[in-house]
Amino acid sequence: MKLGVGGYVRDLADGVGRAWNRFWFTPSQPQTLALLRVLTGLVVLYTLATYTPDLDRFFGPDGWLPVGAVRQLQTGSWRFSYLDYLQNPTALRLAHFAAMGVAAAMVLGLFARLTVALTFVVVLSYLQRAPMLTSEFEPILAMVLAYLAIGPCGACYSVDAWRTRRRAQGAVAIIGPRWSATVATRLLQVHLTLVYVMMAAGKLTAHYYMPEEPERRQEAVEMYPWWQGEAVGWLLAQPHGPLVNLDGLRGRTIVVNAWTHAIVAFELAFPLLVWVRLLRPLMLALSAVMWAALAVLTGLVSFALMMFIAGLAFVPPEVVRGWLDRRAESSP
Amino acid sequence: MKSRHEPSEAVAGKELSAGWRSLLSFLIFLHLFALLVAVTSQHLGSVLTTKLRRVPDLSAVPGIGSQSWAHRLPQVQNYLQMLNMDLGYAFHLSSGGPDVSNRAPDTEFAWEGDFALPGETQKSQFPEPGTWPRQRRNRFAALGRLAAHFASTDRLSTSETVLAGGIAAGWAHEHRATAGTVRLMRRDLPRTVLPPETTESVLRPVFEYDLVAMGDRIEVQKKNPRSDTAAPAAPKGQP
Repeated sequence: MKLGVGGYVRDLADGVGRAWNRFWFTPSQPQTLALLRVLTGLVVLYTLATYTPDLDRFFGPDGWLPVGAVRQLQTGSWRFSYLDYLQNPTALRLAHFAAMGVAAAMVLGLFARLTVALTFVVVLSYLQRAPMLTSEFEPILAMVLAYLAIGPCGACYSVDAWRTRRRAQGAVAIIGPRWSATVATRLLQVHLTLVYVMMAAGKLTAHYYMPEEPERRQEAVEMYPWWQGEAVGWLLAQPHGPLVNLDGLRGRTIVVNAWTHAIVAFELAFPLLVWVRLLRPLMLALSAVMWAALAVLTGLVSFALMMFIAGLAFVPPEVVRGWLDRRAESSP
Repeated sequence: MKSRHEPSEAVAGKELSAGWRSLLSFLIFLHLFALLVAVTSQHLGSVLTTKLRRVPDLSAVPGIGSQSWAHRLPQVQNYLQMLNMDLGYAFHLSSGGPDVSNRAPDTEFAWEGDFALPGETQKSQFPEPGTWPRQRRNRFAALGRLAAHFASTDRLSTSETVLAGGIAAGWAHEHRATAGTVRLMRRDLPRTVLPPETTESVLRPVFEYDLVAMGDRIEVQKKNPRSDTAAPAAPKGQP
């Protein structure tokens, strides 16, 4: 280490620069991104399929959400949706099934560079045509797709990879480490960390007044449902919330309190501990349990599934290769 | 801590020239800065973040309010809007839309219609009981919340009125109704963790539209704006 303030600053800048380059640009294998491509593509297919029965109802020329009214609500927003220009029911339906075809190509890894980017445009178009229909799930889906679109997620476990092997005429095609895989994976990891931090912060600051009426604010008490452990009780109280009948839990205050605190503790712990190599598998296993339980509690199955899938960005590519290659070898 | 699965430092950056690394670093920095502006503009109130954002009139509207702000940095705003990343991510695990009102969900909305059809009358509700899968049901629930917000705000613009009325009219049109009433109903949920027998909740009307035939189209006329502040009425045909 050099002496003096100038030397220290130079050492610090060099160290930070090396760490930055190592974090963002160390080439890595694309297996993790390929796994995310397949899983996310299946979720996109499912999402598009759920729009099918309500296509005309929401987006049609005589639908509930006229383009003009929606755009007027979003005056000044930078949004694009090709659905805005489809004011014919037949064209709308054709475009919808074409979009599902693009998503299927993404799952299969057929022209993956193109189809992943197109799937991202498709999803954004549905979200931005009618943002009032969206929930917590769609922003997470858009986030994962955005980063998949810039990474080499079709380099393996794809039709593209199979065609490359065929062209090599039996020679083993080596999938080399790529800097673009690292950039895409790191962006997803960092963004997901930010999402967890904000979810936890949002819960810890969420409050309401009791009694609620503004004119009685002087006598009102501030209530913090996530601090007080009652938030899960509210979620249980939603008539169409839980996937199964959990009424038996409503009187069990200790269970409700413990579940509420466990959700917040997990959301606080995940963004820190998932970066620690030794604790990473534990956090991913906990995330599987936590999101499965939350899917049952809230009925937000797609959101819970997508949060779990996004968390798989932390699984090293070598581990993914170990899982999938072992399965391929053991299959007949 | 370095993962044993990650390549060694020796190969770091070998495939990228210094120029490309600098350019990509700059772009990554801009992207992360934009994300930080998005989340802090939604929840924190420092002088900087306040200057960077525009507090929207529709801040409590699910799906819209969370995505309209920050005109002080229009490039950042536009970039994030295009990518659907202009959010605070403060999800409360509520159904039917991102809860940007900083509160856990305590209200549920449903539409109820008494439609006069040629030769008969019909009572319908959406989200219909048993709407499947959940993702579809959540979309209808989000529309209920949106309309309820429009009904309760004093700052209704033409487009908001058109949209809430459009939902009612579109629904009636689907049923080929010639006359009747469409009601937006709300169900207040219990606020405490109590056994089920003490937490019974009922649907009560927020506002009503009368259906009026105008040629071959059905138009709607709002009957009782702001009736959400009135005393709860007995629910019709609801548990």
